[in-house]
Amino acid sequence: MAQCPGFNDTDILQAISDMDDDKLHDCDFGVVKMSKDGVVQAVNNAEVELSGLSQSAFIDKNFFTQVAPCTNNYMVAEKYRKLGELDETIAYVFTYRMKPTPVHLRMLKSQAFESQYLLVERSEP
Amino acid sequence: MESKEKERERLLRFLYLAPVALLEIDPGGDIHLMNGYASGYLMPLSKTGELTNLFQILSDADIDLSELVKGFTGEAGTVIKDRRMRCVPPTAAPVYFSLTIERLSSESFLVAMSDITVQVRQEERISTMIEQEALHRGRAEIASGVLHDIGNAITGIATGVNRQLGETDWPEEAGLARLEDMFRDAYDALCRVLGSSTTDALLRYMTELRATLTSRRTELNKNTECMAQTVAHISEVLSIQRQYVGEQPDRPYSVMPLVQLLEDAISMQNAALEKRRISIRRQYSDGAAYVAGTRSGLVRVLVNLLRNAFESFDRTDMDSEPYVLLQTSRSPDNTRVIVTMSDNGGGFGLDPEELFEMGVSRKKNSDGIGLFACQKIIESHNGRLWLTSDGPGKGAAAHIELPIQEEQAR
Repeated sequence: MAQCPGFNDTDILQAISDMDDDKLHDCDFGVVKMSKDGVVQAVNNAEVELSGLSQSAFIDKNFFTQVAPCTNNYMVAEKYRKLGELDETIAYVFTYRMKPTPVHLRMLKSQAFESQYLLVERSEP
Repeated sequence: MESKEKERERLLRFLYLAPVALLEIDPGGDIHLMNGYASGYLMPLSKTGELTNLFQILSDADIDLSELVKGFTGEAGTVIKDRRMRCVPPTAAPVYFSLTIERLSSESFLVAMSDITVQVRQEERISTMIEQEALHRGRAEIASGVLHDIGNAITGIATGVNRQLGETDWPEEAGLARLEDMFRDAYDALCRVLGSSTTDALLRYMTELRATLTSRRTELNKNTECMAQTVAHISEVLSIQRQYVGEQPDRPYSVMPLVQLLEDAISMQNAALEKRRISIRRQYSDGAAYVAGTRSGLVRVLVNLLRNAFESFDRTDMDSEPYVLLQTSRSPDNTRVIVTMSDNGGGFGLDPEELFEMGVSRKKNSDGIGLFACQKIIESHNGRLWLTSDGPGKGAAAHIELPIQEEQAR
């Protein structure tokens, strides 16, 4: 069974796509697995822990409008909507438990895979 | 009963997903709490990729938040409410927010922001449309005014030209001819008194003078006919242009005797009447009725209807003398005057209403604008225009009904 790759690994989309949803919990950074129209298919424990939300607050919801409206802008959601191939890491600020929390987001999408992913790594304070 | 943890999560999600940006800042602008929409709105505005100080993030906005917060002296209350703020993200078009700031305590301010960019863009579009419409209306009004003034001038010129056309015989020419005849009759007596060479010279001079006068008259008539055609052409061009510009409703009306308008229209068509040997018959049973309107507009309608009548004779083999009968009468309630212009020309078999549609005409070389324009002009005078005919070859009549202008209103 595939091991969780590092946040900055080059072939991370291939590696993470090969993993069962249960194995995503092994990753020490947040992983949100979505359909191409943004509906959350799986979320790992690291992201649940970071957000303070339960799994049920994510699953089957549109990530950009119903879970994390802070990403519903041209910096994040628009890129997923417009681009067919996407592998970009940006510094961003999430609002976990209403507190501004600097994070790094790695946005992953490819026509070769059915799902798209958002990886979230908390920035070092 | 919900567990405290679930209740807390529910409250967090409620605040987090509230469709308005909510932030808690301190007096220096540092952000302590914010929800999802706040992050979504502010991240594109942040030059550093961080969201630590609201005043820094919004330093390029058209409102100085720092000054507003510092300048608020109350213990608690509204610092600003629903203030429109314009921000320019580094890599995107300007965005607009409605901003409200409440001071909660000396160390805590609640900031609420909602994105009103779509609304502002709509307002801008509407404002631009209103400006363009106003500009268009202004131009149309100027054009309409110019066309109106030119129309009045042309109507005056046309009346003069057509009067000139009516003067086909010059009394001076006839007088000279009579004088010449008298000289010839008294040739022998004149020769005895003046001598034959002087008498012959005088006769030659008179003959040349009459020939010159005849030549001048012919030339002048020809020029006047050309001028009448040019004036008619200008009138048609003005008529078409008026349709594009649209009659301005605020054009000043004047009060005029209806019969004067009819006679002016007839006068303008004298040349056509004579050319076609059409007689005008008048039955003005209400010759004293006054109407209010734009003179050039009403005369234009009457001229157009007269022309329609004349041209219907061109399409018909006439057994009898062609005529146009002009009648005026009052409505039973005495408030409106009705002009009926009937002819014994070609008539029509179409539905009369169809003839008023733009593009429909009985004439071969017509764009059909004439009757459509006439109807619009009469309607703009609170009147009615309609046509009747017993069928092809049985003549036609145009009827105009207009409000009578009362004596005291003149």
